Amino acid sequence: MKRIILPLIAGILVAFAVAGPLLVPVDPLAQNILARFAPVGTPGHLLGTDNFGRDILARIATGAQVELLTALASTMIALSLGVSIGVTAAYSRGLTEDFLMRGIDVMLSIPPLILALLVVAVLGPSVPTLIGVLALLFTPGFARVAYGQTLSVRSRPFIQAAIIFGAPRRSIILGQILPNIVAPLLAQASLTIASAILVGSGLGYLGLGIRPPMPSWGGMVADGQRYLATHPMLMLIPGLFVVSAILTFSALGDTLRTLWDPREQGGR
Amino acid sequence: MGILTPEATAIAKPPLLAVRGLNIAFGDTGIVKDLSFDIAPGETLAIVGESGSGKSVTALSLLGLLGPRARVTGSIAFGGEELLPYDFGRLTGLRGNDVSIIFQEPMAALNPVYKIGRQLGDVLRNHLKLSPAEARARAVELLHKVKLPNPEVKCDQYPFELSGGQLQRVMIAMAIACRPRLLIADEPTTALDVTVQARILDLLRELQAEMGMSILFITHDFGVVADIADRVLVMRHGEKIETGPAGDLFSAPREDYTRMLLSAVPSLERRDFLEDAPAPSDDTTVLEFRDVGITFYGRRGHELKALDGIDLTIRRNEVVALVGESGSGKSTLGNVAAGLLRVNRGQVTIDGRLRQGAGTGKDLHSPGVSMVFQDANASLNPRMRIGATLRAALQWNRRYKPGLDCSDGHIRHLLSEVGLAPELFDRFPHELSGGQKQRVGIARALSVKPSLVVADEPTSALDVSVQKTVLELFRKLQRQYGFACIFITHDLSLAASISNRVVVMNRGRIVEQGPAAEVLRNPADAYTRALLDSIPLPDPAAQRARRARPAGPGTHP
Repeated sequence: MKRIILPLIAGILVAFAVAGPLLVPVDPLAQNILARFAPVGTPGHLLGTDNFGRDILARIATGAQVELLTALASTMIALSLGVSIGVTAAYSRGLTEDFLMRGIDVMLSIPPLILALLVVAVLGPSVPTLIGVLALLFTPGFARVAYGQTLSVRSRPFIQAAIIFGAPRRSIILGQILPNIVAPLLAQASLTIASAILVGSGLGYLGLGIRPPMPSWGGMVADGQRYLATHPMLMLIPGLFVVSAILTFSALGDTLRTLWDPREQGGR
Repeated sequence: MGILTPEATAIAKPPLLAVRGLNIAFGDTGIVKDLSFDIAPGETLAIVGESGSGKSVTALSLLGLLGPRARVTGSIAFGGEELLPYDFGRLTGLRGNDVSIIFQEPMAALNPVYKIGRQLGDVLRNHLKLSPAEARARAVELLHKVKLPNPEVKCDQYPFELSGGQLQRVMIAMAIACRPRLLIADEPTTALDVTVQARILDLLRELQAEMGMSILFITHDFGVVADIADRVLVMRHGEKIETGPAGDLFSAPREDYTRMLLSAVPSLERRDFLEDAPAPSDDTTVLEFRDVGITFYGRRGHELKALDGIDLTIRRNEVVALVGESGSGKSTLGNVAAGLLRVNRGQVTIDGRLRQGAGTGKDLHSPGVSMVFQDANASLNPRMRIGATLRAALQWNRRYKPGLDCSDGHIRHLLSEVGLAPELFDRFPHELSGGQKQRVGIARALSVKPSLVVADEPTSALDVSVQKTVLELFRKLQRQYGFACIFITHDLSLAASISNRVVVMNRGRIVEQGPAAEVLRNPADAYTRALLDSIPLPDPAAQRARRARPAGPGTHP
């Protein structure tokens, strides 16, 4: 069951992010002072409205786009960058290895929030900046996992066999090593998506993510906080989306890893 | 001790351990079915079987070590006291005091971060009221007793500083610390070299004679059985096949399965030599080593000469067995021939082309060489189907030999040639048995039409019965295709049964070489003699006679 439910929820969230504005054809920026603080379940405003009378569902949908696409895109970039660095370092050894891995250590030593603050202060908050910062932050994690895994797979006899049977370097790396390090990378990727959502909404909360009035889940939590006593839903709804997205993506890795393992295929 | 105690008196005493109708199951899978046996005081019972026969599970069940998932029913009576159902409080009192156990991997059984003396002392203090100083004195005394050299020094060393044989002695010291009445030995010599194995078996026999304990000895090796057992219990698929005094079982096995196991043990005595093999008629030199040396540099300037001045020539059609103990450099030599290691010194020529030495490039790879690995499972990519693995090897090699056929039909033909069903084409490695995987390894090695095959202990991880069929296949294919072969093994009788020439290695040097029959019948070098004398003979009478002889001058230090 677990292997169906989790990818399903994740799929719905992603679909919501991609197609949300189509499903909820309401302008997330349209203000309506008369319809302020409409409660959950109001006809036309399924999740109610906020302090400016903007439709919360529409804002969540647009926010999902920003939130999830930022997380996915930055994870993908970090994954490809980190894996290239890690595998190259582990496979080539010697000077290249030292150079690449010490570079990764330097990246690891930078405090993430400080870096984010710095970049946003210099470049100004925008979606591409956010993706870039997050990708930079998560690259070392992937590089370390890929590096360690490659080192251990590389010493296994089937790699020696490939060398003896004349496999070119490229097919040893792409055909023999990569498929065998995918499982831990999937786990790392799903955790990274989760923490990218967390960091992204954290930055949004601090006003360093997406510039208002464009909605972001973190920004909505920050806005709703002021009305916590009177209208708690304003803060709880976007918070709930953040939590469920993080939970889903961090548990997804396990499921994907099971699906990737040939031993788990064929109805066992 | 079995030689001195007639069987009759041993049986007449009440048994120390009486197992009746023992059933062990994990979930719905029965592992041991309706097993009954006795062990008399002072007796050695060997349980023999292949992997999956339930022998180790039986041994562990005696001490309640199987964990909560195992369902153990029947009766286990130790010294007249019923152990089933388990009372773990009482078992704790039994473990280490009356019943002790030693394991296959002494390195894994000792804690790597504590010194030897401390670990041994902890065991003593768990059971006896001793001060730390007393415990240490007792530990040194025990290490003396198991004939560990320099016990005072060894006490202050960590497990990684001792050899495998020395660690097994420490384990034995730990096991006999409280003078147990029953010692369970689960394949205690399987991970050790033959010369070390012989001395560990001697030690067990001496300790048994001195302390009068019983031994339950788990093994798959009938040579070891002949050396140590009074009685033998043969198991298969969790059931008893037959049981009887060791002498009778070896001279007149009743069951086909026992006969098969016995005949599968290669024996030097049964003239199991490859004498009908034609001497290499083809004079083409395939591999030539000239003064090859490799030195590994460790930390603190530590140097290890893995290969030291090796000269070796191998011709077409020739099978050369490389024998030696672990650390002798035989696998290093194989890896050099396969192009996996760079030499520091000398020249390597393969198929008439200089591959390593002055003036050669960075690329070590020689297309004419292929390899069969010891661990068949690890040598196959777990993410690739069998057919894809074979096709990949063919496609890679096509860069050098454009004539190779990569079609599915040809790959299926290769599978059938090594006795595998063509349906395995679409399977993953984990769906195959160990023997099948090694056949795939052989198919892959031969698919590229090599001039030299390096076979690195290709059968040592397999059960004896499987070992035999895989060896026969290998021998047949070698004759059919006539490739040269380096067959690396630690097993001299195996070397004799497969090779035209035996090369004995010790500490990175070749100490002796010549035709298999000659080297093994009339060994010229002391080290070869020591190796030969250490192989347990699968015949209790012969083994006893040999043991009675004083150790020759060839005894290895």
